[in-house]
Amino acid sequence: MNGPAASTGPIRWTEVRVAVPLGWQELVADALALGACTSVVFGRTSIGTEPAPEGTDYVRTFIADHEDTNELRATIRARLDGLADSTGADELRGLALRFQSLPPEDYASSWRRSWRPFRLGRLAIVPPWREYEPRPNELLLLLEPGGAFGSGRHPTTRACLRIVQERVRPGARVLDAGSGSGILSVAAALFGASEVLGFDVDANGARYGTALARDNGVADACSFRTGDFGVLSQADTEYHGVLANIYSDVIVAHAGDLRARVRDGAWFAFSGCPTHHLETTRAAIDGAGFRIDQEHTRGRWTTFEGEARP
Amino acid sequence: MAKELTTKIKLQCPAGQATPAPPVGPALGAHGLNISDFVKQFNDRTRDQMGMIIPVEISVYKDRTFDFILKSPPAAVLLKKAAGVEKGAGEVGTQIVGSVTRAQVEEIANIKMNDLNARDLDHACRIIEGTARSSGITVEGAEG
Repeated sequence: MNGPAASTGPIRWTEVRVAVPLGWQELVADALALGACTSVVFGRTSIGTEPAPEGTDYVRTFIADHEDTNELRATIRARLDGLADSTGADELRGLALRFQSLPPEDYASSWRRSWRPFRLGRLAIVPPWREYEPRPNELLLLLEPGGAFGSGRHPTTRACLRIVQERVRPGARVLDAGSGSGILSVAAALFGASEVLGFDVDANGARYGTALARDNGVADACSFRTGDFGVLSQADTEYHGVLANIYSDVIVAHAGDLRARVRDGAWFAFSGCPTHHLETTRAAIDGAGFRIDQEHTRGRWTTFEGEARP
Repeated sequence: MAKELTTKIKLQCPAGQATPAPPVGPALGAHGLNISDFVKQFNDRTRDQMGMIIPVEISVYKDRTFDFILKSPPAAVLLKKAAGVEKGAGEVGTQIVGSVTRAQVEEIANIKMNDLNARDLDHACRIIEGTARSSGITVEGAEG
């Protein structure tokens, strides 16, 4: 507790943990919200750590070491001790309070430790802060992982990335329906596509995709739009390949739209079909004029690969 | 794409002012989530509510991606709004700053029902009444 402030290195923190009868967590959070600790977290630290006693949940806040004084601790105790009387709720009497010093850690960067490059055929997906020596003929895709968008590790994305590296030819034009983070579009450009159009209803998709393309040196080949199939114009047609890593009910509803945008013989990768929806999705793809050559199943997800029938 | 949920993290942070410091850092870092991405998105989405404490529920998926929803404001904030007061009592239980009706208590209890983990509406109302008393807000028609 409040020793001399370190001049370098990360700040030390004290965790303040209260076991709170269910229902009263917000009130306790409010009582803890002193100047030094306005943010709280509910529940245990992580899966695998000790759960709160039956009928309670943890409310935890944190005090920077240089603000952790005997006076502040006494104020916190007093506020908690006053809750039973101020609310009239006897179950708030004698709340279990614990102060625990945490080891110093730079939380802005320490989360990165668990992320390592991973290889997928001739592609290596590498966090930008990691040094990585590519193998001969291996292409690097720099991707900041762990965010709101995908990290490339979802089974359906992996399947599409494998198809991209096998199917994309230099100079190809590729359509990416439901482009999300833009990872498949960027991969297609890295493998030689000269024009990739991605679109997604998520308003953040175009911004992420554009940044990802820029970070990987393929901004000239990639463009992104926000919206559904309505954002496509008459000129967006005759593609050599089409990707749709998307919900299978969207594939079912728009298989005809996808077929209308590609030339005869164009390859496709339609991903994200759960087991219970296989028959319906297969029939819709076939009915729209695509020939399914392969089905790649991993866990409960299936990816369809094939070509557009003339 | 449907993703497999690993866990949910519940936090309260000041609008527009989340940082990687605790509790955000350790709570998200334990799951390998991109903390700066969360901080940026949270602050962008809450900037117009500066000065408020915002409850947020983060869904963590098996592939270590996340999304989050902003929850209804804490009960104390809703009570102050219903009572038409700017601030609650400075010291808990020492000062009366306003009042709400029983109907308003029930309305807030309904809004907060899921967030409170209350057993039923009566339990939720009791928690809201207790929160009101603690904030210096009386409930019209209530005893004490």
